[in-house]
Amino acid sequence: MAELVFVGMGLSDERDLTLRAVDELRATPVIYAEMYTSRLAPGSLERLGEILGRPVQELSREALEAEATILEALKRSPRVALLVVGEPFAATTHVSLRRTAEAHGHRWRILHNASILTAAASLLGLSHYKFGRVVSLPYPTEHHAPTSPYEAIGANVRAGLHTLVLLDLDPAAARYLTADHALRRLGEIERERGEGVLPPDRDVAVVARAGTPTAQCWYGPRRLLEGRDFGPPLHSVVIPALPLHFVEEEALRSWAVPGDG
Amino acid sequence: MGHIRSELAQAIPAMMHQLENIRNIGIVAHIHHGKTTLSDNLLAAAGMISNELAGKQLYLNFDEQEQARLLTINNADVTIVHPYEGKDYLINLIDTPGHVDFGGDVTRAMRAVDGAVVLVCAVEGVMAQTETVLRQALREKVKPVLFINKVDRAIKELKLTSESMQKRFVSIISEVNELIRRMAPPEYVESWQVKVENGSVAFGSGYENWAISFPYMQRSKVTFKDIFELVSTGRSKELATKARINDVVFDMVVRHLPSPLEAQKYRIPHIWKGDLSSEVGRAMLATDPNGPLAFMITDITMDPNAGEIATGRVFSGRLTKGMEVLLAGTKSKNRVQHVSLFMGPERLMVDEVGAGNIAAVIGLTDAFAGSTVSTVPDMVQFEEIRHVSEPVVTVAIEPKHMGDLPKLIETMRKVAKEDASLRVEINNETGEHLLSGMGELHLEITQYRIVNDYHVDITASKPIVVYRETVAGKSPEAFEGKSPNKHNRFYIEVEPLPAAVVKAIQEGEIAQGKSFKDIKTVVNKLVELGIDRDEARGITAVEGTNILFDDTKGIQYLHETMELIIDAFKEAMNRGPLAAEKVYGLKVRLVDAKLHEDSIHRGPGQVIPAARSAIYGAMTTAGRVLLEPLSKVTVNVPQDVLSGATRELQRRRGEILDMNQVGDLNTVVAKVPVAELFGFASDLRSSTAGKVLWSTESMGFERLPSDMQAAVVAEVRTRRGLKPEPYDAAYYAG
Repeated sequence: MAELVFVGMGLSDERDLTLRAVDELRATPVIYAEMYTSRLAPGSLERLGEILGRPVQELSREALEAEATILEALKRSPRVALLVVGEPFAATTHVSLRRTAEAHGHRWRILHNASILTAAASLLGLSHYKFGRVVSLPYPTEHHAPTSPYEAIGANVRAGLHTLVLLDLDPAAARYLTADHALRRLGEIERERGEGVLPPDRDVAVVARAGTPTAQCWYGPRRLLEGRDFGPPLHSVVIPALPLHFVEEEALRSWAVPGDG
Repeated sequence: MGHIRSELAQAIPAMMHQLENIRNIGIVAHIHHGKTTLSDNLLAAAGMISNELAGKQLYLNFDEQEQARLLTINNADVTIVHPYEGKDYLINLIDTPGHVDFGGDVTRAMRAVDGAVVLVCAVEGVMAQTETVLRQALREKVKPVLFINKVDRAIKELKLTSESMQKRFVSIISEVNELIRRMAPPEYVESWQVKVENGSVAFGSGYENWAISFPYMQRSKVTFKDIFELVSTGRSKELATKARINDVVFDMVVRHLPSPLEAQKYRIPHIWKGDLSSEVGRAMLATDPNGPLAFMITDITMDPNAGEIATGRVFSGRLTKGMEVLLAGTKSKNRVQHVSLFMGPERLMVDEVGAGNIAAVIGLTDAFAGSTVSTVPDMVQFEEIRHVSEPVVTVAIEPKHMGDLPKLIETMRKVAKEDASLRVEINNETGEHLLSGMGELHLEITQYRIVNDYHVDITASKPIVVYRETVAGKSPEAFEGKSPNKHNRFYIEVEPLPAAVVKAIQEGEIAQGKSFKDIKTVVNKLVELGIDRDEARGITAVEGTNILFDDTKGIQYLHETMELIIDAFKEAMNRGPLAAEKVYGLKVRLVDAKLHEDSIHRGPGQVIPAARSAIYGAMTTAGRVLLEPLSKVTVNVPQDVLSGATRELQRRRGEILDMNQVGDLNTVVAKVPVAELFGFASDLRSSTAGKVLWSTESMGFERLPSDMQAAVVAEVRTRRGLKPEPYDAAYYAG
């Protein structure tokens, strides 16, 4: 019987780990990290390894999903840690690993950290109380070009709720869906479906590099944000519900892009 | 000969537009029934080659390889002018192969023609391949007439009396008519029956160059008794002047086979499913040379000088030198560099070929056999040319000099383009270049071509049998397949498809793919063949001989995921769980699915492995079985070596289906696994002192004897670089 500790790494780099996390990791024999659901600044894991005085081993998606590596480690070591960018179970499917560990008689714990789910709203100044379902937007491929993200945004908008749109990424291939690409894809679905959820004049927001020192936001009509360069990844899109509360409106004003007339 | 040719060359372009005087025909027959000899003598008599050469030269078999083996491999086409009742007729004759290993070519040739001369040997009678080729003709709505050949041999060798000879003819004719009754389109069952009285049956000898029909007897006053006399007393030469083969056969063709004008009226709705009231639809129904161009390619050959030559039928409009044409279903545009008619190995260049004729074209570099060529943008393509036979034998080919590798790959692609019954697979991972075909002989001939026509030195592996996988019964319960992230689950049940459904897929009545033009018709067809209507409505995809049904109701987001499930289904059907062979005749039912809320967590990387595991797991619990290909082997031998032949069949796991004897000649029909047929040709020759004629025909796949399965599976898996034991159900559930 061993313990599996899920450790949130936050959004920027190794210095986002909590002091508690660092203390615990120093006493943890086996430390894994996954960097396929999101990413930290390059070199973060190596620097963390130096701080901890022991290596942090990165696990591929295949190795982590197969679960065998971690289950084997739990047999050998009283405590195993899995480092996850952001908050461990927020935008990931790792909860199934927790269930498997439990089924094998192991205990588990979480060391929490900041997540994009809260960081995006905080940066923009939108009320956390007014968010609806979160959606992800995948890279459209020939056989997988879902329109359900558009439908979910529509349902949120009709219910007066903001939508956080997370964008697809493939860190192994250094491929990150940009907010510009995402807005154009949503515009494409809007033209196909014509439900008026995201007309060109609809105000939307873009959050780039949330949680890092270069974090920045933009707010304005979709047509003005499309085609814009938002700088290095990661990006997210937020579709605010209208009408805005006056406090939200004032907060967003500081991110507004200049109008075109 | 040169003189006659140039006269022909002058006459033909003008005749091309007199549609009622054109006949497009093919000659079809069982192997060795004398088709090429007949064709040659028809040409000789019509002035295309000298009388002396005919019968020896095998003119239509102009490929060196074909002459060496006395087999016709590729279609060779020729245009002839024949006078009948004061008018000149243009006859486009397409030669077709007789060996069933090349069955794909016969089917394609039938698309180009409107009529067929069915050749039956008087000695052997109606044989397995007679039925096959007749079926291929009738399926294309090609009208048959009958020519009973080798009458000279029947008289001289079988020593039949005049009465027993006539009885034999009657029996051949009624057998052919029975086949027509069974296989012809219902509206033609009666009118296409062949009859001695009206001259849609002729008899003769292609070898001795004479023929006779009832109307010709009446005109020429030659009687059946005269023929019997002359042949049995060795005076056949006289007959060749009294009853010339070309007069009799071409008279029959002109009188009984339809002109394009007549035939296209009923053939177009059968072979083209576009809008018949559209401009091109109306032009094809009317065989209108002034309408838009509609040209279907039925054959592609490689000419060392000219490159790719595409042969096919012009159904409407004209093919003109220099014109730009569109290839339906692609974005390609090609320019017609040359247009010609075939005259044996030579081509006669012309400025244009109009509707209703058969043309050869150079310049269509993006075309393949089956392409629809048109001037109409987005023209609906002609119905796919069906041939049921699937490749059953594979060899791996290596260049002798590694530097030849790029050339070998290009050559293999070319030979596959020429011969639609070949499959080429270049596996970049294993570095294998696989060539699959209808039999050992088929592959040997193809290898010969690669070496001699394309000048690439190669080594080939021993031939390998192509197996199929299926299940013994129904899976006991729905099998759960999980996605790698464990947040998506698919539930699959499998069972064998009813044989009638498999047959309907093979014959193209149920189309491949996932978009069904007319879903109602497909559903009705399935119901008619024994599938429950509720289940039939869920038809989602057809891959090979397998169908995926969606039996779920109202699962949120499933529609966004279905394309990925179809991808998994296709992958699983092309690579079964037992030995990575293709799956055969499987019904796959998706009965339930549980999906993650967010689309990013149910992408291709999650859904495809999950659905594939569910299918593999369901097949494993249903009992995986391996199927092996079988051949129907027909052997003709004299009595004294009969036992040698039957022994040879029996020691190859052969099952004798039928044996009969006419005179001294025995015909043995047996069912033999393809795996046991390697080296059969030479073994049979030595065990019968060479006194043997034989042919094979595909009989589809049957279950491998269960005591052999484990060993064969291990062998195939090892060859593919897999571990010898297949995975169990627990593996797919994990």
